[in-house]
Amino acid sequence: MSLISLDNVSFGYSRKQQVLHDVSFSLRSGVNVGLVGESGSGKSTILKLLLGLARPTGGRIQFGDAELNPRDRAFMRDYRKAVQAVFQDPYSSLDPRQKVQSIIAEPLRALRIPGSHQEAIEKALRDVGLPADAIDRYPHEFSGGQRQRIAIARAIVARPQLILADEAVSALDLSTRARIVDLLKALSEEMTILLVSHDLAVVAALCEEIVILEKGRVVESGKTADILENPKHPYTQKLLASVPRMPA
Amino acid sequence: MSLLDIRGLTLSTGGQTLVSDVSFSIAPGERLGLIGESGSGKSLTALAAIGLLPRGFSVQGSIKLDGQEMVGASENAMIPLRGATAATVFQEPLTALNPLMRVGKQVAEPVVRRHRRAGEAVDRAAVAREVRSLLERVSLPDIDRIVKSYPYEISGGQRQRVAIAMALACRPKLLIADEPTTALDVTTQMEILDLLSGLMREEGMALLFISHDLPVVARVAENVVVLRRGAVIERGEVHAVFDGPKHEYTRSLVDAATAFDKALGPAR
Repeated sequence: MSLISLDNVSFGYSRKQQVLHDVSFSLRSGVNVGLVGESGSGKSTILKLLLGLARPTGGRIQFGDAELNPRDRAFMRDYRKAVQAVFQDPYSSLDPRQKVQSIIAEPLRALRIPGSHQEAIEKALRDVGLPADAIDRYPHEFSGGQRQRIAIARAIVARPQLILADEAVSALDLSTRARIVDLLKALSEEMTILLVSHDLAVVAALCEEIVILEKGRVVESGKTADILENPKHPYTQKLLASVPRMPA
Repeated sequence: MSLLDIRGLTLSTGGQTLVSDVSFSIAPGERLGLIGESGSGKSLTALAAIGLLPRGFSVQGSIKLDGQEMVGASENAMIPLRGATAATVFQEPLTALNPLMRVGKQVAEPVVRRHRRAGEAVDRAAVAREVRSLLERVSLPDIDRIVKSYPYEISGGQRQRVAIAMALACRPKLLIADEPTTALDVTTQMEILDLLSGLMREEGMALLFISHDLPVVARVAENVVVLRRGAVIERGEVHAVFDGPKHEYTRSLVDAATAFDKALGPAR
């Protein structure tokens, strides 16, 4: 069953400035999807809509059997329990004046999750491979990769069904990036990931399905392996041909 | 003789040593890739090479740029080398360009300066012609519009082409490119890499290409130097290093890059 589906979603800041045109795709439980596009493709706008930070100007976003409605506070609380986000830059997505404990506890507090918060935090830290004593430290005491682990711990602490990852590994060094992709892969045993990225190689390493965006339109979507092997749309072909490859 | 010869370079500030005992050289026309992750000291090394280190750094060792010692040289002694001997293209063209100056005027600055240095008369029409030919050289479209545009009015890839045109305007013997494609889209990145490779071949310029991205380095460089925590850990011909990395750290980088590369399937 689909977790979330976008049906003919369009979005524009004005009638002249349409950013998304008739975007449709769906996310199924257990199937990681990569949303790939270059700057201006509308990938961040789709994420904004999925986070409930803006409303589509046309079409609808369906979550379970309800329509995503950012104005419905009760609905949004349930929605946020199920859908959490990890952002690109762990230097700006973590509050520098909060300790890790309080950063990771935030969704539990805000969403009024019952049960032991301390246990949930400890489990989240274990899941992302950070030591238990990390909770008493501040973000500046960690490296970029470790900070991204803190951001991931915050996203998974309330045990959501879906993680929206916006270029979540793009700002990381190569060896760190490989380790965080491995971590996300391990987490996707339990939850589904929508990875928004311009980096086809990262998407190929993590996602079973792929949606290619160009100028606010879906130009191609399907199984990652099929698209990499036999890209049909000229834009997908150009994108694939542009990825620098390791020398043979 | 080497164009750039760095020997035993050690950079420290605030009691911390950020670059230690780094040595490498670049021959005229050679394309060298400097590989390293964040904190490896790759950008500091490049800044030191053109005498642009921030205040408060203590520099030991020797940096010879076209035969002239840069360590301990006065600002006045270094100025004539910048541009003429080595020009730089930085990662983020939006901050490298002056936001308040039209593109045509910015590109004209190094052109005018080069003519003045050579003691030639500066003729406005000739400068304007040269600016246009430089913008053509970097394959910018619609040059009439671009010369009149401010940096914010053109795309990221176009801005980086403008930055490259400004570097070319100096007719340097060595081009230093510090992560010049990291901020760009993949399709734009490929265009800029091809542009740089073509320019290097045609102009016979040497290139110091700084990047953390192995396949990108492989596309433009012949030789590589791998830096980690401020020290050189491996060097050699690019294919030799990528095929048989000797240092464990280089191997971990090559393995990670190869894993991502494999995920994409066979190269076409």
